[in-house]
Amino acid sequence: MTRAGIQRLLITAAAVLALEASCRLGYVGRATMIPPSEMLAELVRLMGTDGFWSQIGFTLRNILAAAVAAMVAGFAGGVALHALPRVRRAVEPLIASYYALPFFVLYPLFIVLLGMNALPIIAMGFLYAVMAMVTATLSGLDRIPPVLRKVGRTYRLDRVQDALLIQLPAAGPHIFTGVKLALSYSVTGVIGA
Amino acid sequence: MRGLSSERAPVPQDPAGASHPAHPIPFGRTPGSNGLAAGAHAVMTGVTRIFGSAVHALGPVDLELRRGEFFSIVGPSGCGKSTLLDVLAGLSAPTDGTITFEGKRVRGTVPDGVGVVFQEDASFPWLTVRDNIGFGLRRAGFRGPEAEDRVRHAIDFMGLNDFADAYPNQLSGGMRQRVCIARTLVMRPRLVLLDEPFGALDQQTRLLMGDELLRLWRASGATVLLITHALDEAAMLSDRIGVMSSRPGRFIEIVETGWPRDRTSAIAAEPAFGEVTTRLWNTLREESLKAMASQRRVAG
Repeated sequence: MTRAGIQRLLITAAAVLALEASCRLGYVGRATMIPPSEMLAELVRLMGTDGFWSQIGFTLRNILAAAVAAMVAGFAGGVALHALPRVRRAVEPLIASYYALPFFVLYPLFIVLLGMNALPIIAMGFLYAVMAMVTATLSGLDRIPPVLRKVGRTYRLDRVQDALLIQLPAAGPHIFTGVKLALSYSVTGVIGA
Repeated sequence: MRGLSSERAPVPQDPAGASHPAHPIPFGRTPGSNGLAAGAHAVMTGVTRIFGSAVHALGPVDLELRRGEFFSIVGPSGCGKSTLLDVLAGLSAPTDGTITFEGKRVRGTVPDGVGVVFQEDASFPWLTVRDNIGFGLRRAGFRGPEAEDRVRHAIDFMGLNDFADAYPNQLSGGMRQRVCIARTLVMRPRLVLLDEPFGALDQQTRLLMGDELLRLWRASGATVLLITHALDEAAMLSDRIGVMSSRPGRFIEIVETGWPRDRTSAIAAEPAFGEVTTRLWNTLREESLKAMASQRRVAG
């Protein structure tokens, strides 16, 4: 392990110990938080109970479904907005203020519309994640150096070849960041729901 | 226009590429094809380019590139040099006029046999040096030993052997530009268009790259058109130099240097080199002042 890794580990351990001490000494009330050691013991107990792993599986499936849907729709939306600059200018204020929206107020509405099943949960995860993918895709496509498009033309690439061989790889790092964010946000959305 | 070649003193020549690696003609077609052939290779007739309804960037321009020559274009900033290259390459269509390459009309698409090297770093950061150089070959359907051989020779010729499996972000600016030049030349273009390819490099690297470019030009037998800001670079490299006016760019003089084909950067030490650069500057000075005044008006 690197020196920085060891330092990170020590800082994390110290923080957990401080939290444990705060809870045990009464600085943090039990109604607010139980000590981390009790959480761990409870987790171990729960892992042995019936239905625990099926619930975990259910949550992971929902996260996966929300993340994949957000990645696909977000990428498609980003590509479409990049190709349609007028539409993009029109929706840009919505994109900028998207994460200020209180999505969870929509959850009861989703239950009414989609039923008491996994779909409202997936919808919440999707809503949380999709705009991260849209903005990352837009950012990646915006940052493709114009000279690379010219290079594609000098090799007489058609639109599909240009997209697959030049634009997608050139935008790849940003799109990959979008994938990571979409996964993280869908975890937040699904767990929150 | 009077050529300067008849007044030239003997100039330093490349000692048969003694300091260069093996594979003397990695990009060439046949060893005998290096001499200037008769006839026009590319012709621009009455070419103009107007952006929108107000910005008259170029022309009308008439230019005849001779097969196998090294032609450079110098001119004030914003005079339309890069626009001319884009139009000649088929990267943009002219507003008026015609362009032909090897007798065929160029109509807004890059013709087969034309290679372009840009000023900006145009290497693909997600591909290794080897894959960058082989990119065009793969697209053109070259596979197997021939493609590998061409790429290997190009890497060797450009002195990139130790970096064949490196990615562009691990290379210096000069090396990345060499990758781009190799990627273009490995396709064996018959017309090579270079848009200030050494613009971002320091003076020493520019001189060395100039020597490499001359070596490649001799080896390939291709016609080369170089856009540059640097008068000394144009004077050192070229058979002919076109001097452009301020916008809208037109040719106001074409200077024939008369250098021998096997010249090197050592030619810069010759008195005749000073004559050429002085002549270029004398022609260009007035136009540069006009361009600066015009830019001040726009900024004001």
